[in-house]
Amino acid sequence: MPETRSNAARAPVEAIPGYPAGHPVAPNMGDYAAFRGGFSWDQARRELDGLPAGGLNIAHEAVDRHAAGSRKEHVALRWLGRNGAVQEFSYADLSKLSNRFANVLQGLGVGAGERVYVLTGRIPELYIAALGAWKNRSVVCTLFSAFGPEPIRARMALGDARVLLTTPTLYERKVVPILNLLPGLRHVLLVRGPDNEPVAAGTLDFAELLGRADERFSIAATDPEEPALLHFTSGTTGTPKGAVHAHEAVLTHHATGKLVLDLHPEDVFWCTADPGWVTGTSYGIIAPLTNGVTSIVDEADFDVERWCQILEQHRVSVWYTAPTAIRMMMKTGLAPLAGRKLPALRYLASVGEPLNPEAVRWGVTAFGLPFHDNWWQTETGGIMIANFPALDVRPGSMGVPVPGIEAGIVRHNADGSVTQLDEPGTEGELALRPGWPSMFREYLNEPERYAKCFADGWYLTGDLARRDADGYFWFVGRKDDVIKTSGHLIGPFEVESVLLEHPAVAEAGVIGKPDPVALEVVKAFVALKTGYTPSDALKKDIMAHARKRLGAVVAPKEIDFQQSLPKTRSGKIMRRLLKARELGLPEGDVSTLESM
Amino acid sequence: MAAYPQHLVRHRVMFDGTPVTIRPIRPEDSGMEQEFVRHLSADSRYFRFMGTLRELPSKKLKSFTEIDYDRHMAFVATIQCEDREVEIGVARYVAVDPPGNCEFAITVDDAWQGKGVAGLLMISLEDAARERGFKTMEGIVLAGNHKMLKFARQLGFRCYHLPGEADTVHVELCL
Repeated sequence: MPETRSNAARAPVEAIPGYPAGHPVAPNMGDYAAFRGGFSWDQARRELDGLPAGGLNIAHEAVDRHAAGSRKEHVALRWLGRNGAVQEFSYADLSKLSNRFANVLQGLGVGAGERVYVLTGRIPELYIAALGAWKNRSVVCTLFSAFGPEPIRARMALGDARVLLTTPTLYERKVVPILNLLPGLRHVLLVRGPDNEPVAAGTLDFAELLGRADERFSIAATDPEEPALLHFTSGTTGTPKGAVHAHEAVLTHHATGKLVLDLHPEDVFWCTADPGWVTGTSYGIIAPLTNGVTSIVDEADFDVERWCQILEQHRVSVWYTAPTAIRMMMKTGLAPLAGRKLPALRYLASVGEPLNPEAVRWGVTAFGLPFHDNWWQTETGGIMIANFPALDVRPGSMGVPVPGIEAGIVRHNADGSVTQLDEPGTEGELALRPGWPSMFREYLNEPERYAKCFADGWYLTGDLARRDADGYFWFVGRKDDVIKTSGHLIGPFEVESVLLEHPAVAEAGVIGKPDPVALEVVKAFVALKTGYTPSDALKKDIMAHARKRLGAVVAPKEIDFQQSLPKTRSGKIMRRLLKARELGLPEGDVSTLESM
Repeated sequence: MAAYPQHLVRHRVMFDGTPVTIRPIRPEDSGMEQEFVRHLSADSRYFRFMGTLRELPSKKLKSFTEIDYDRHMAFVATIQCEDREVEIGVARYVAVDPPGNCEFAITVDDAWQGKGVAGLLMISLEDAARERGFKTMEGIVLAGNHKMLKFARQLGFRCYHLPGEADTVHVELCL
C-alpha cells in the first residue's frame, strides 16, 4: 500500500473544548495522559465484582450486584413504547425477571454455550432475555428486526440457533418461510402483542413461561473466556462473519462507559442504537447497566420531534447516537429544539461512521455541546478510539486511543509482514495491539478468516487511517468493498446474490453511492437476460423482490439498467467504473476494458 | 482458428503427488469450462469475477475457449476422474494497452486449492507470455482476497492501490 503524506502535519488544528467549562459534574477522567499511564485492565477488573460462584458473568455485573446493594430500587431501564406507554424497571426488577428467563431456558433444556437469538424491536423482553441468557451462560445473538428472511436465515444457520425469541408478526413474515432450513432451532418463544392473540402452533408464549418460572436463580461459575455474545458483521464475500465475544468483554464495556461516555451514577443515558447492532448491545444494554445508571429505551423509530421531546422530558444527560440521525436533524433545522430547555444534557457522543466536522460543530449550535466521535468495530466489542471529555474535540477526528488500548498505523510488506509507520500524517491501515478484554475471540467456525485479521502482533482493522502529530486518528476509508450505509456494513455479494435470483437478471453489480445523510446508499447496476427489456415496472419488481428477501436496510435504494457491466479483458467486473460513472468522475485508465 | 500449441501441454504432479495436466484451452473445452465455473464456491466465483454470477454467458464462454494462443492465452489444469477429464483450475492472460502488457486472472477449484496447482498454472502462463514478447503481467485483486494477494506476493508481483480505490489491489510483474 503506498504511503501518502498529509501536507498539514503542523498546520493549526480546529479544536473544540471536550467538556463544558466549570460544569458541576466533573468528568470521570480529568487528565488523559496521567490516567492512561496508570491504567491496566487488571485495575478495570477490580472495579467489578467478579461472580460469587467464581469467574465473571456479564449479567451479574450489569444487574445482580446492583440489585443486591443500594441501587436495587434505582431505575435501570425506562422503556418508552411507541404509543406513549412508559414502563420502568428497577435493578431489582431486572434481576428477578432475568432470573425467571434463565429458569425458562433451563426448563427448556437450553444449556451453556447454546445460542439464543432475539429478533424483536426495542421491547423490554429483549433486555430480559439477553440478561437471562447470560445468567444461563448461553450465547446471545440479537438480530436487527428490519432484516429480511434471507439475512435472518443466514445468521441463524451460521450460528446454529437453538432458541428464538420474536414477535408473532415477525415470526409469520420472516421466520416461517425459512423454518425448514433451520434444523437446529428447537424453541420459538413469542412475545404477544396487546391484542393477546394466542401464539401459533409449535411456538411458546414468552410471558406465560416467564410467569410460571422461579424468581430465584444462582448463576453458575462462569469462566470469563466463555462465549457470551455473537454479532454478525458483513464481509466482502458471501457469508456474514459471526464475531464471538466472551464474558470478559464486560471489562471494556464498563470502563469505556465510564471513561468515554463519562457515565455517572445519577445520569440518564440514551443510546439510540438498536440492540441488533453491536453498539445497541455493548452500550444499549451492558455498559449503562454495569455503571448503574438509568437507560432510556425508545421503541419508536427515528423522529426529530420525538427525539427532542425525549431529551427534554426525560432529562437525558448523556446521549449516544449515530451520524445518520445527526445529519437528519441538521437537515430538519433547529425548529424542533426551539423553546426546549435541556439543562441536564451534558455530553454527546456519536458512533457508526466518521462524523463530519460540520456535524460536530452543529452540536455546539444546537445543544451548546460538541458531538464526541468515537471509533470501534463489531470485532473490537467496545470503543477503542475516542474524543474524550478531558481533551479537545478535533472535528472530523476519531480521537485518541482508550486507556488500555494501543493503536498504530501499519503498512503491509511484500512478504506478508506488517511494519508500523511512525511518521505523523502517513496513511496506512489502522491496527491495534491484540488482547484487550472485548476483542473478539473468533469468527464462529471460521478460524482461517479469524487468523487473517492478525499479523506480526497486530490486529488489522481493515480501516485506513492516519495519525496526526498529537496522536489523534483520522479515518481515511475502508480497505475492502463493503458498503457503509446509515452506519451498517453491507457486503455487495449478499445483495448481488439476491438480485440474481430474479428471473430477469443476468448480472448485478452493487456499489455504495455517496449520500449526504446515510453516507452511502446501496445502488445496483443490473444487466438483463435476453428477452427482457428495461422498464419502470421491471425495476419496481426487482426492487420489491430485493426488499422482500433482504429487508429494507440491505436492499438497493436505486437500480440502473445496463446493457452489460463494464469488465476487464479477463472478465472481471470493474466496480470502480460503475462508481466513477455514478459520481461523474473521469474514468481513468480504460485501456484494460474489454470491448463490449 | 490458430493451430493448437501442442508443445505447451505438460504433465505435472501436485505437492501430494497427484498427476495433473496443464495445457492450453481448446474450443471443445467449453462444456468443461462452464462446469468448472458452476462448481466454484460462491466466494471463489466472486473473487474471480469481482461480481456475482452463476455461470458464464454463452458469448463469454465462447471467447474464453476460442482463443488465438498469442494475444489471448489460457491454460487449464485437469485431472482424470473415471473416464472424464475434469477442469480444476484455469489461468489466462489477455493483451492490453500499452503494448507489451497483459492482464491475467487465475482460479483453482476450492477442493483443489493448496496443492500447488496455481503455481503450475502460473509457470506455464508466465513462460508463454514471455515467449510471446510480453514484458509486464498485471492483474486486479479484491482487497479481501487474502489468499490471492499472498500468492501474488510469493510470485514476485508488486501490489499497490490506485488512489481512491481502497477495495481493489493492482498487482504487477515484470516478466
